[in-house]
Amino acid sequence: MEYKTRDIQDGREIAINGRMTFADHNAMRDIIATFEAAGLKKIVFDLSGVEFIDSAALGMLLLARETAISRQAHVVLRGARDQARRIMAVAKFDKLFTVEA
Amino acid sequence: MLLRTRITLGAVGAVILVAGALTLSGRMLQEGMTERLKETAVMGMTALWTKAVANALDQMEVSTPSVTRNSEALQAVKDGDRAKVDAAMVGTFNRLSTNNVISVLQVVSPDRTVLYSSSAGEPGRVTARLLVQQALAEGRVKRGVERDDNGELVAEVAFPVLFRGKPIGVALFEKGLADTIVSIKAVSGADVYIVGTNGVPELGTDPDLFARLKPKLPALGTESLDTQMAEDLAYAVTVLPIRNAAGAAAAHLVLVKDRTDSYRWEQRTAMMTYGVAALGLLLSVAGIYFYLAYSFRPLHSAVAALQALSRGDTSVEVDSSHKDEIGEMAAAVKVFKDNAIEMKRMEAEQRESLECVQAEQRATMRRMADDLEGNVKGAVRLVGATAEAIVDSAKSMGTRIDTSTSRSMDMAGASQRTTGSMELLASAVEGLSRNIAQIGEHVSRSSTIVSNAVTEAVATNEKVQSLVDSAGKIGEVVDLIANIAGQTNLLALNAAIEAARAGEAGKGFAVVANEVKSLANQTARANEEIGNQIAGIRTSIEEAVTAIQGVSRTIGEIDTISTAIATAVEEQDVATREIARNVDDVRADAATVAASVVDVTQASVASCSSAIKVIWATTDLVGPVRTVDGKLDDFLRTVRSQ
Repeated sequence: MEYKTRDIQDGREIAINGRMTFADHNAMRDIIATFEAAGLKKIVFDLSGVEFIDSAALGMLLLARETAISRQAHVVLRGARDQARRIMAVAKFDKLFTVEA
Repeated sequence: MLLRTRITLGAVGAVILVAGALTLSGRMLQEGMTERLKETAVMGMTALWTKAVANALDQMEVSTPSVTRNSEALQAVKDGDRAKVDAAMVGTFNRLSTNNVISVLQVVSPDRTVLYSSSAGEPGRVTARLLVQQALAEGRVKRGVERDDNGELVAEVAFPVLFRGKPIGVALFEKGLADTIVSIKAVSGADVYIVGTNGVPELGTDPDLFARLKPKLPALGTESLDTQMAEDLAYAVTVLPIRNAAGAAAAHLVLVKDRTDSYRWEQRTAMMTYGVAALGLLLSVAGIYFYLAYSFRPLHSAVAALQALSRGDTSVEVDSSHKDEIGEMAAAVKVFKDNAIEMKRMEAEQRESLECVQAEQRATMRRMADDLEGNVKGAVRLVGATAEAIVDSAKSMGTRIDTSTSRSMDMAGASQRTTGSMELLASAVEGLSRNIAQIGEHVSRSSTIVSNAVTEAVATNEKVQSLVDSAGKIGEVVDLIANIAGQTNLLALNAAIEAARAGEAGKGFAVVANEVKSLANQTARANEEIGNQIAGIRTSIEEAVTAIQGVSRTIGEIDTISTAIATAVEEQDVATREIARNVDDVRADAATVAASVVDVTQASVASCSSAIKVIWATTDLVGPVRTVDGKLDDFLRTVRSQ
C-alpha cells in the first residue's frame, strides 16, 4: 500500500492507496507513531483508494484506534468502497469507528 | 676549544719559554766564558809578549858587565873625555852588536848629556829617555820598551855605571823589536804587528796579511780579542797595549792568527745547536701532543660513553686501564654504565613482570569474555532467536488468520449473495406465482372464450392447432419449471443441512448457495421463457381468438388442454409456494450464517490485531537484543584485543 499524510484542522488525514494487507504492518506502525504529536483530536483514514483490505489490516486499524483513544482522539474511516466497505460492514466497524461515505 | 688543545698549547708555550730562558742563560754563560777565555788569551799573549821582551832585555842585561867592567871606559866617563869614551866603547859595541845583542849603545853623564852614542850625531846633547832618567834617579838597572830618538819602538836596558862605587853616569843598551815579534810568532804561530797610533804597522811579520785584513783596532791602551774576516778566512785578532816605563801606551801589539777551521766548526756547531734545539722543540711539541692525545683517550672514551649512556646506549666500552685521574673518572663512568645496564635490566624485568601481569589480566578478561559470551551472549541470542521465532509465528498466525478471514469473507459474501439470490428468487417465484395465476385466469378465460367461440374455434382450427403447439411448448416449459422446482426443493433441503453446520464449515454452504443461485437463474430464465411463451400464447390466442372460428374443431381439445394446464398451473403454484417457503428458510439460514461470519471476522480481526501487536512488540525487542548483541560483540572484541 501507499499512504500520504496531511494535517487538517484539529488532526491529521492519512490517505491510503492500493492493497492493505498484513504485509503493511510496518507502514501502519509508522503511521501510528505519528499520533504521538500533541493536540491531535481527529484522525481520518481516507480509504477511497483502497482496493483490498484483509483482516490483518482491519486489526491494524483497530490498533490505530486504540492508540488514538489513548491520546484522546477519535478515528474516522472515510470513503471505503467495494470489498473494503463490505468487510468493514461484516466486521461491524461502524460500531467502533465513525464511518463516513 | 678542546681541553687537550688548551693543555697542548700551554705545554708548548711553557716548553718554548723554558727553551728560550735556557738558550738565553746559555748564551749569557757562553758570553761569560768567552769573556774569560778572551781574558785568558789576552793574558797569555801579554805574558808571551812580556816574556819575549824580557828575553831580549835579559840578553842585553847579561852583557852589561862588558861596560861596567871596562875600567878604561869607566875612567874616560869619569873624566868626561868623550874621545876616550868613544875609543873605549867602540870595541864593546862592535862585539855586542855583532852578536846581535844590542843595536845601539849610549853612555850618558849624570846631567843626561850623551857622552857616547853608537849612532852618529848623538853625543853632546841631553837625552830625554825615561829609563835613563829613572836609572839616574834611582841608581839601579831599569829596563822596558820605549821609543828611541828616531821614534822607533825599542827594548832598552839602562844601568848605572860606577867608578869605585861612585855613580858616574848611565849606560843604555837598545835593541829593535823585530826579533822579538819573530820569536813571538815562532811560539804562538800568530803574525805579530806593532801598530802605531795612526793605525799603520811599524813592524810586522806579514805586512800583506795586515793589508788584506785591515783589522779594526780599539782605542790605544785597550785590550781586545775578536774574530775578523778577510776573504772567507777567519782570523783571531788580539790587540794588546805596549806600555813604556811610565805605564803609558806607546803602541798596539796586534796578533793575527788564522782560525778559519775552528771558526767554521763554531759556525757548524752553532747551526747544529740551533737545529737540534728546533728539532727538540718540535719533538717536544709532538711528544706533548701525542702524549696528551694518549692521556686524553680514556677521557674521550669516557665522554663518548657518557654521551652514549645519556642516549640509553649501554653497549659502549669504557677504557679504565689508566692509573690516573682520567682512569679513575673512566672507572666512575664504567660504574655509571654498569648502573645503566643494571637499570635497563631491572626496567626490562619490571616490564616483563608488568607484561606478565597484563597478560594474566588479559587472559582473565578473555576468560571472562568467553564466559560472558558463553552465558550472556547465548541468552541474548536465545532471546533474539525467540523473538524472531515469535515474529515468525505471529506472522504465520496472522497469515493463517487472514486465510480463515478471507474464507469467512468469502462465506460472508456467499451468504450475502445467497440472501440476495434468495430474495431475487423469492420475488421471481412470486412473479411466477402471479404469472401462473394470471395464466390460470387466462386459461380459464380462454376456456370461456373457447367455449364461447366454439364455432369460431372450429373455423380457426388450424390456428388453434398452433396454439395447441404453443401450449405443448408451454407444457414443456412447465415440465422444466417443475423439474427446477423439484431440484430447488432438493437443494433448499441441502442448504438447510449446510446451514445447520454453517458455524464451522461454510464452504459447503457456498457450493449450495451457488447452486441455489444457478437454480434461481435457471428459474428466472424459465420464467422468462414462460413469459415469452406466454406472450406467444397470448398472440397465438389472440390470433386464435380472431381465428377462433377456424379452430372451433379443436376447441374441445384446447379445453381439455386448458384444463390440464390449469391443473399443471395449480400444481406449479403449489410448487412455487413451496419454493418460496424454502427460499425464506434459506434466507433465515443465510442470515444466521452472516451473523456467524461477522463473529468470525471480528474474532479474526482481533486476532490479527493481537498478532500484529505481538510482532511490533517483538520487533521492538529484536532491535535492543541486536543492539545488546552488537555491544556485547564490541565489548568482547575490545576485551580480547587487549
